Amino acid sequence: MKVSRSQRRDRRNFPGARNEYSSDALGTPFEAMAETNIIDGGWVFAIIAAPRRPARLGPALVIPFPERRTLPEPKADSIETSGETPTARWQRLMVAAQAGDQRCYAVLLQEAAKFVRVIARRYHADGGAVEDVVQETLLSVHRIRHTYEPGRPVEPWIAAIAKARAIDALRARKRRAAVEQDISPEAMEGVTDGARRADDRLSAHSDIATAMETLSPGQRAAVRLLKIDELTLSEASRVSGQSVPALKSLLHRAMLSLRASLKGGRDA
Amino acid sequence: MRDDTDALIEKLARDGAPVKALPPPLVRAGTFIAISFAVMGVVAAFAGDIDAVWSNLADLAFAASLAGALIAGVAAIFAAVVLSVPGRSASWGLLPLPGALLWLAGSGVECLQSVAASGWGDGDPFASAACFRFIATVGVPLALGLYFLLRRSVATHLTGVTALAGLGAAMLAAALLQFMHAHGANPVDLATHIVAVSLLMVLMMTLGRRALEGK
Repeated sequence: MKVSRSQRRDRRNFPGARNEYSSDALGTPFEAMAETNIIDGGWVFAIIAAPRRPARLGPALVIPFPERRTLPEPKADSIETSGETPTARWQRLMVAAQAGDQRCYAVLLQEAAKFVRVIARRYHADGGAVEDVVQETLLSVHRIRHTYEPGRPVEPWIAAIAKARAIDALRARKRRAAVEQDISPEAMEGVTDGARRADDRLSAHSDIATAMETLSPGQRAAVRLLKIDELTLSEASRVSGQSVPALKSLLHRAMLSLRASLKGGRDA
Repeated sequence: MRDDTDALIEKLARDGAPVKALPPPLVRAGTFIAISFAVMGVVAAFAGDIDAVWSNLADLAFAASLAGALIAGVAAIFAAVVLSVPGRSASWGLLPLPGALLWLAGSGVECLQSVAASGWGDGDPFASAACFRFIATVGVPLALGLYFLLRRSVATHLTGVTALAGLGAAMLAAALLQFMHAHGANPVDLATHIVAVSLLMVLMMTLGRRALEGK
């Protein structure tokens, strides 16, 4: 295989970076980019400079969309790759998404989710936590998609958001761990039964409040709307703007998280 | 779990209404600085002592402290706006450093000149309370303006962005202050200026950060 000067330079400068896409281990070129630590700045080009393989890239990048009929048709034949670099493709999809092309936006989010998942795995071993980070990142991407500056690469923009959300989740986990540590058996020694019962009641309120603080904003909102305000799923969906499945997922993970925090407190 | 993510993506895509991309950060920061300079210019022209400033510019220390404050303020605002967009290098945070050092060096030399000429003064720590009030009075509206400029973009580097915004607002206020008191800084002045600048930064890093987080 012929190796260009830029590829030789990239291999010399970035020995860890792959110079061709490996669809076996990593689903898309963007996963390869995230896996090889090249999401910041110029590292991207270590992969971009690799030889193009349209035959391997083409069909694999078209993510099947479950409810195709519910979304409008793309404004142009802009979803399929036509030999362009992954960076250029994402730039085009992002610009189309900003213009309101929902199909392009869906494809971009699907591919971005894989990219973010690879980044999140560097910070979290637990699959649920990784998925939390992916979802929080996608929500952030959606909320601030107007901040993407057309013409600039999309990967560093998404990667920075993903890193921030992954670190947020780490901090929340540390806070949760600190809560579990604080409630030690020694702390309860010497308390009389009556005082212990009163203390238990107070402590339960405080534990719940503290455990609620460790939830992500989305999870907290789901608990508040569905468990405290007792809204139905469809009402909560209307109020929060989240889909019913997303709300169910947020509530499920929130309850798991709360149970873990509170169980830790009771066991101690 | 991935099914949930797929459902979320579907929902987000369906909600993907057209959005207008923000202008590039340099354009937004430049516009804010141009408007700020216009207002500051009017204030300086009507309330300041322009003639005294012109004559003082011959003093290298005064010129350095004025230029340093302006450079640091402008650079900090540019850096804050650029860093508020995800994916930009954190090195932007160093942009105001040369200006801030120039301001400190110029003011420091002025202090030495003041001590050499008239000693340490009466040691009253509140002698420069008017300077403090001025920096706070001018700096807070500037910081508020920066909050409105940043609130649609900031998602990462929150601490750095808010610190830079506070620094930018305070340094522009400190630059305008040079037009108000046309004398060189003495040690009490400099200490007061530093306290006022630090206070504005802390305010932005606490109240500003909280407001931006909750947006």
